[in-house]
Amino acid sequence: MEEKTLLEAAGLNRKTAMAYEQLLVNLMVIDRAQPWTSNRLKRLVRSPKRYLTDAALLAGILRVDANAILREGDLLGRLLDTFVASQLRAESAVAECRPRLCHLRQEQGRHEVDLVAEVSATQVIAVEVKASAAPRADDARHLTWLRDQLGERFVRGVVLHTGPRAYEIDERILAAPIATLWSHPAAS
Amino acid sequence: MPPLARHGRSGASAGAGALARGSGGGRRSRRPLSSLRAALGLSGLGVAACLNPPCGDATSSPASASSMAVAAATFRQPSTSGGLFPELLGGRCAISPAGGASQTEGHAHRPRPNAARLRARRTRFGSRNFARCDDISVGAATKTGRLVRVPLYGMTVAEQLGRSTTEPLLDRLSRGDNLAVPRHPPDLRGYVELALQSGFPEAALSLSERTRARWIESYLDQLLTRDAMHVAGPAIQPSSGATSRPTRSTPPAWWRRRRCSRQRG
Repeated sequence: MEEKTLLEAAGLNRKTAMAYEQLLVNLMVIDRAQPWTSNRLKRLVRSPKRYLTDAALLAGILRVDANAILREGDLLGRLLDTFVASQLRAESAVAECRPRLCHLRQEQGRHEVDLVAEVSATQVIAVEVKASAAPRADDARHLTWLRDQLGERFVRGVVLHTGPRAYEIDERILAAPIATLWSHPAAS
Repeated sequence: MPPLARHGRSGASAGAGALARGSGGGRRSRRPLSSLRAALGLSGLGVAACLNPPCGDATSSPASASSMAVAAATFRQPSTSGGLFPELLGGRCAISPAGGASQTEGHAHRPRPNAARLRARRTRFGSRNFARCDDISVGAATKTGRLVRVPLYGMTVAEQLGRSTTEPLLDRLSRGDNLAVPRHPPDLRGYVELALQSGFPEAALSLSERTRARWIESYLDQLLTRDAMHVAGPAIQPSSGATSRPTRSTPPAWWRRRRCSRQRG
């Protein structure tokens, strides 16, 4: 969501909104994913993406339960995105590759990748979260675009979905269940 | 303070970190960082929990708010036959070395450690002479090179399942490993329920679904009224002691507008 849209929806001026946002960051209610930028890509949005630190807070704030979330497609997508981001954020604190989690969005949302993990100065892993059970090539189009733009710098892209199977969608782009986040290597 | 709110302050992600410090002596050999992670319950998926002190005293102060979201550990001094072990010091919080469980002074989160684990923890983490999390700045100067700060977040699903050996997904992807798929992954509803289970140890491990929803609402209520005042200062005051959060009959304005526009559309 564009920052301007967010401010308009909240009915706040920018200064007040920034103060409230900082307060929520200090209270550990929200966490900012910084924008990922590269001189290879043009027209990237430079404002951070805001996540609730815990997906359950979303249900607490809106006072909705699982049934209500399943009925609202947009809310479902945001909940899963927040859930995956919270898992990856906790992981990345101790991951060997020492990733830096960012997000990527081009102006007017032409291309948007939910999370971009910079695992070194030259390598990038991109993550998309989908509520569908069997994402297709079209669901990975932003990852494909990023891979084509970055070339060898793009290590791997993964579409995390709610289905049961892991498979390759395209070159260096996988689809995998969200549950692979906590699957034991021995389970394969 | 109502019990739920008290537990909320000791819950996950929303708050402070635990402080750890070496205590000198010991009969162990120097260990690498991975051992420190393992000892802190940080192996594999690492972060066991983000811990808050049970009371909103020093750690609610604005000055320490950001610096609290870390855990730090120093090593014991090496000795002839032994080595280094991190020792949790502060925040009245301890992270279970087995991962997944956490304990705060006065009460433990489930799963409750058995007596042997508790003894081991006391041995490893020393006495309960906890220091405050913001004390890190005092002793840190002498600990350069021996102090490790680790950001703490809510419990991950792997930690809730007790899978402390699960490797971070990003590590597996960066190495080009094949991703292991669990035999019985959740369906869509299962994922939603997992997300709503939260990463707060108390809510995720101990409470039923219905009680959990009340716990989270109570947690938010405390956070946005009392704690917001502590962090932001007098600029934010609760209205006549009542909650400033919308009630069930009055959801947030932007949510109302969105729902209305959807219904019209």
